[in-house]
Amino acid sequence: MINYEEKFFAYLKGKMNSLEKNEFEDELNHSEILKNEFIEYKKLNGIIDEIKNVQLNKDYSESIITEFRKRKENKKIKIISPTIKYALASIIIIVAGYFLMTMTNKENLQEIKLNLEDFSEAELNSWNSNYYYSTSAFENNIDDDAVSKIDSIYKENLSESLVEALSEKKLEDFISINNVSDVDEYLSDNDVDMIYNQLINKEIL
Amino acid sequence: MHEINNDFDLIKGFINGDESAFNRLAVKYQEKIYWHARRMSGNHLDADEIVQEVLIVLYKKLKTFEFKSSFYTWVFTITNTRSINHLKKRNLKNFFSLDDISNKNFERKDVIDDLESKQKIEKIESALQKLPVKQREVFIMRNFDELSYEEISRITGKSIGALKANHFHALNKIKELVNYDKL
Repeated sequence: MINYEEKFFAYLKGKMNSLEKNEFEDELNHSEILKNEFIEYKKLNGIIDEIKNVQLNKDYSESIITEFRKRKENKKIKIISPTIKYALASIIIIVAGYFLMTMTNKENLQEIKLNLEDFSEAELNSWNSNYYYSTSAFENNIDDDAVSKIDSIYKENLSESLVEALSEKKLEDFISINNVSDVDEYLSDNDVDMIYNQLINKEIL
Repeated sequence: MHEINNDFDLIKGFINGDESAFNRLAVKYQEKIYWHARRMSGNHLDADEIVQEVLIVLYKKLKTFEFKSSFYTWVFTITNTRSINHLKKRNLKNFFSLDDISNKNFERKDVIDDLESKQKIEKIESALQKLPVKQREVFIMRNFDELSYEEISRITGKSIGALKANHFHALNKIKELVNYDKL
């Protein structure tokens, strides 16, 4: 059946001129199927009309701008903690670890290993030793097998996107994070998109 | 004294240092922002957070607004983008169980006084949450905000054909999901 939604919409919202209106009503009168479709659309539209202009209660409404001003004024300078930096880096490693678990392409692995060479041994050792800072946050959700699997994957491979995510500048950005569960707050929209899309592509999410 | 309330003058006022002009702009658009965010996210807590994020973005970027589109469209674009991003972040958090929303008992804050409306809203919200995001966004903008496909296309950056196709599927699913007798 042709999608008549635009006509339904224009008719109900009074966006048709009289000629269009007459033609549409004529169509409705000549098709029982169309008429039923229209009745159903009108019913749904009626419900939406009823609820779409519901007012928020006054207290909440007034609190929005107050809360905004409060947040703006109270923006704290976060304490720099190097261990948090590594814990956060580890979280990204775990993120990458998850989608690496689903990777079997040898060429990709080769490429990853090459990228890995860009890191100094000290950096890698440091991440490795700090990796366990983050596991406490996940211990209730990841069993020992999964952790060791991620760990071994992490040691062997890093994805290209992970290398990008762990650039020096990025690590500096992570310095200000003082709560692991707030990690998403400090990822840029592009970071979120990148991680999200990769997880989607791997059909994890 | 006559209070300035049109967008152009309020934006100009803010750019010239009048902080209260921003407050008036925020108050003018906050309900629209809230409801779009709430329909997209399906709950008050996320919507509240999105509203705050949008206000922060508006505050930071208002000085760069060039009046090439209507302020309303601009606000809507920011709200829609922030809502989608918030959903992605929520999914990521949920995936890593940093913030397990499936077990989370959402704070039932009463922001809607009318009980009958509240129940209807919750039922429609529940149906909306069953739609994929790209169908949900076009359905909300079309049926709740009464935007044309051209406007939705400007906001989302998607083609009109794709929007129509998504809306068609969304509409059919919503019709299946909504039990009119119980509303």
